[in-house]
This record gives sequence, C-alpha cells and structure tokens, in this order.
Amino acid sequence: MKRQPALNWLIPLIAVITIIIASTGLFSQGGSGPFPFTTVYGDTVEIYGKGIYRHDSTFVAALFRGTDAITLFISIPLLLISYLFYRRGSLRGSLFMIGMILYFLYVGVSYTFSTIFNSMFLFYTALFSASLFATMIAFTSFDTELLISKVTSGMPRRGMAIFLIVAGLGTLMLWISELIGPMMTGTAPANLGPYTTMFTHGFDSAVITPATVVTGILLLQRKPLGYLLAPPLLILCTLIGVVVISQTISQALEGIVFPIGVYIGMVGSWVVMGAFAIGLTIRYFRNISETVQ
Amino acid sequence: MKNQSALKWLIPSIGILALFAILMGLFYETPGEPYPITSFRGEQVMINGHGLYYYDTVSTVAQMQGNDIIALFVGLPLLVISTFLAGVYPARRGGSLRGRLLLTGTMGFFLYTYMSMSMLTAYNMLFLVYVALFTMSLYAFILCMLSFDLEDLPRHFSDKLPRRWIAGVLFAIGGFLSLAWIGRVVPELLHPEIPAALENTTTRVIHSMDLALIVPLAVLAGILLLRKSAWGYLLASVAILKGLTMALAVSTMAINMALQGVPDSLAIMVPFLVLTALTMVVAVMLLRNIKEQTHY
Repeated sequence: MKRQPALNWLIPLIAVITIIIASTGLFSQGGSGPFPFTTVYGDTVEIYGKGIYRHDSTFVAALFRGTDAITLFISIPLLLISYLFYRRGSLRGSLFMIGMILYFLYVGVSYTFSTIFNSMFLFYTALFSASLFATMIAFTSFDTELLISKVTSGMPRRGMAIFLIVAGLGTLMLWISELIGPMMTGTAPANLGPYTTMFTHGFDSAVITPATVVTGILLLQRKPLGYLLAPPLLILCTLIGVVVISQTISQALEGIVFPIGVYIGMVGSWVVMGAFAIGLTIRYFRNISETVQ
Repeated sequence: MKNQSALKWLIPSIGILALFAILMGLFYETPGEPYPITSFRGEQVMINGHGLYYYDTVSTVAQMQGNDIIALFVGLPLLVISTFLAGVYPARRGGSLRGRLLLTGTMGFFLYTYMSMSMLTAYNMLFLVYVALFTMSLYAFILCMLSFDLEDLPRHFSDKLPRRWIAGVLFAIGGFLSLAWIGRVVPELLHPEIPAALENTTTRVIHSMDLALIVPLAVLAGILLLRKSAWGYLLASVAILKGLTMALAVSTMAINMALQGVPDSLAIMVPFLVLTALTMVVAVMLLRNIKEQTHY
C-alpha cells in the first residue's frame, strides 16, 4: 500500500473523536430517567431519559451503549495496532487497518443518523466524514495487481464469496421481512419508536448488501478487486457479530429481554455469521505472503 | 463509456422509479389536514396530515415537494439527455466527455436526494423505493466516477478554463455551508434548555450530509483544481454539475416554503440564491472549456 500522508492525521483524529464519543455514551449521567412518550403514530415508547442518549428510546440507547463498549475497548486498540503495522510497511497490517477504518465508518454513520440529535452531533459528523475520506484514500492507494501476486494457494476464495453473498442477502431478507408486514397494513414498524424512519434497515440494504454481494461475485470471477474488498468486509462482519452480543447484554441490563426464540434466531444468526467471518478472516490473512514494501 | 453494461440497466431503473416516487410525492392525496403536535423535545410542530408525506411536517413537505418539482423538470430531463450524450443509450463507443461529466453530476444529485429521503422522510409506504433509489444511484455514481481515465483527463480541458473562478465558487459553497450549518447547530448545543428546531425528525440529516460530504468534497476539489491535479478536474466538474441541480432544488424549496407560509430565514435564503446563480455561471464556463476531439 502506498504511504498516504493524509492517513497520518486522519487515523489519530478518528481515534480521538471516537474515544470522546464512546466514553460520553458509556459514562455520561444526568437526566430524570425513563419516561413514556406517545409517538406521532399513537404508539407508546419508553424514552431513556439519562446521559447523552436521553432523548433516544431505551431500546436504541441500550444498543448504542453496547456499541460504545466494543468500540472503546476493542475497536480503537485494533485500529491503532493495525495503523502501527501499516506504518512499518506490513501488507497484512494495511489490509487489517482498512477493515478497521470501514468499521469506524459504519459506526460513524450510525451515530450520525440513528441517534436522536444530541450535543455530540458535530463529533458524530466529524467521525463520519474523517472515516469516509480515510476509507476512500486507503482503498485507492492499494495496488490490487500487487496484492494478487501475494495470494497463496490455500486462499478460501469460494468460501469467502459464498459467505459474503449469503451474509449480504440474509441481512437484506431479515430487514425486509420486518418491513413487509407494516407496509401492507400501512402501519409503523414495531421498532420505529420516536424515530423519523428505519435508518439501519435502509443503510444496510442500500450500501452493505450490494457491497458484500458484488465482492462475492468479483471473487467468484477471480477479479483482483474482490481480494482487496473481501478482508475489510469480513472484519466488519466479525466486529458487528461482537457488537450484537454486546448490544444484547446491554439491552438485558436495561431490562429489555426477548423470548428465547428471538435470541436463537436473531442474535444467534449474527453470532454464527461473526464466527464464520472470523474463521475466513484468519484463513485469508494466513494466505497472504508478507513482504516489506 | 466504461461500465456500460451495469449502467445500461441501472440508469433506466433509476429514471422510472424516481418518476414514480416524484409523482407520488406531488399527487398522491389522502383526506385530512395539518394538525399540531408537541415533540418530546417540547417543540410545537405542524404535522402535514395528508398525502404521501402524512407524518412529515408542513415545512419538510414544502421542501420535499420543491425538490420533487426540480427532480421532475430538471433532474430527470438532464438524466435522459446526459445518458444519451454519454453514449450509454443508444449504446455506442465514444460518447462525449461533457455528457459523461453531466451524467456523473446528475447521478450525484439523485444520490444526494434519495440518500436524504431514505433517512429524513418520515417512514412511509415508499420507504423501500427510496432505499432502492439510494442504492442504485450510489453504485451508478461510483461506476460513473470510475469510468474516467484520470491520467488523460486534464488535457481535455482548454488552457482558458477559469480554474480560479471555479475553485472560488467551490470554496464559497464549502465556506457558506460550514458557517450556516455550524452556526445553526452550535447555539442549540450551548442552550440545551431551549428545544432544538428539529421539527419531528430524529436528527439533522442534511446538516450532517453537507458538513461530512459536500464541504470536504468542495474544498478538496477546489484545492486540487488549483494544483492542476487530475482528480481536481474530475471532482470540480462533478461538484459543479451536481451543485447546479442541487442549488436549483434548494432555491425552489425556499420559494415553496415561503409560499406555504413557513419561510426559512433570509440569512440562509439569499446566499443560497446567490450561490445558485454563481454555480450556473461557472457550470457554463466549465462546459465551454472542454475539448472533445479525442474519443474513447
């Protein structure tokens, strides 16, 4: 990967902004506590009423506190470690770093558009912007032809392709299945709460699913670009699996407990997806020969 | 044009779906009239109460319908014309550089429009249509951007290209958006006891998209153009041609809001109208300074 001076300030900037965002999310207090609110659709939802997410529903505030914990204690160290390896010229480190930047782009977009407007808004926007431009700079400075020459014979090309296609389409079907019913009856989806619209459903369907499916197809066609796009997406899937576990624990701590079937079906499928992603990520990195560039 | 095969079905799909979404937004009607609610922030807002945009506020609906009008009378015709000029339909090798830049800019307008409608329009029965338009225009935009031969691009612009003027307008757009939006957000952050004027929306989607995407893009394009970098020619052309449609849409929104009795402040409206005029002038200068002799 070509050295990019812009990353030398964008990566530390992403880390600093995210530390502020995630620690505010986890540790900010104050507010009168949960209260019921009747939405414009006539549904009653519980508003969290505490800390930075005081205007969000308890359901969503708990999700974000789960995300904050993983972002602060796992993702930031991984970003900084991979950045150090990238600075030493490591190919694997550079690929891993792109995956981490992509993770920060994903959470940056979620913070910006999914949380109710709060005093961290400009930090969320800065994280979204910095990680988006860092992603574009990192991807465009990779020499895909060179990457292809480092791929060894044990690369799980088909496995990665099938996983990415199944994970992408599975997510799409899961989200659409939650929307079809309400669309037929003209009512609001169950989890809309006090929010404008179903942001995560829209963003995953519009951006993530096409990215994973196209990458899977590129891999099946043995296109060099597929080998570049696959590891960041696998790392993103792995971390989202971890985040979902953390979010579920965080929701349980707030007293949001689901029927056992939901844990097995919904949470279980994210965790299985994460486990597959970890396995494939490890096999990918074992099959990239490392040379100092 | 490169990436023809995907663009050949993406662009007509975008055109047809967008036409459907626009006509629904403008003409789908249900009985009812606006009614006030109090948001949990304590802000009094008027819910539209009828039509496709039932749960949006009167002010938001005025903006979305303003955008629908421009998308119908400027965006869609530009999409058809630029698709033809770029040589996507009828399929032919070649296709003019002007056409391809115009197509990319127009794609940028549809991307911005349906990205914001996916996030900012109160959930309605067209949600999945907005998401489909968002995803198709995002990937069509990426394919258009990747279709340019960067190394070759600068020599297609004549030496008379007023790079300083174009960069100046780009800096003005970036500077104005930063000042206007940060100026609107910061006072709200400093006075949390006063409810932020957010109507009934989750958060400030447009402000975030402009600050995170448009401002860095405009400033970066201006700097790179001044340095005569190949990326500068591409980003500046796309930014100006996208800005053309966008600026017209914002002006129509502002006029429509005033007509509906929910005007925005003059401090926002006047600079937008000035920027619209400036963008149109430099867009013409840009298109006139492209040399077409070489075909791909």
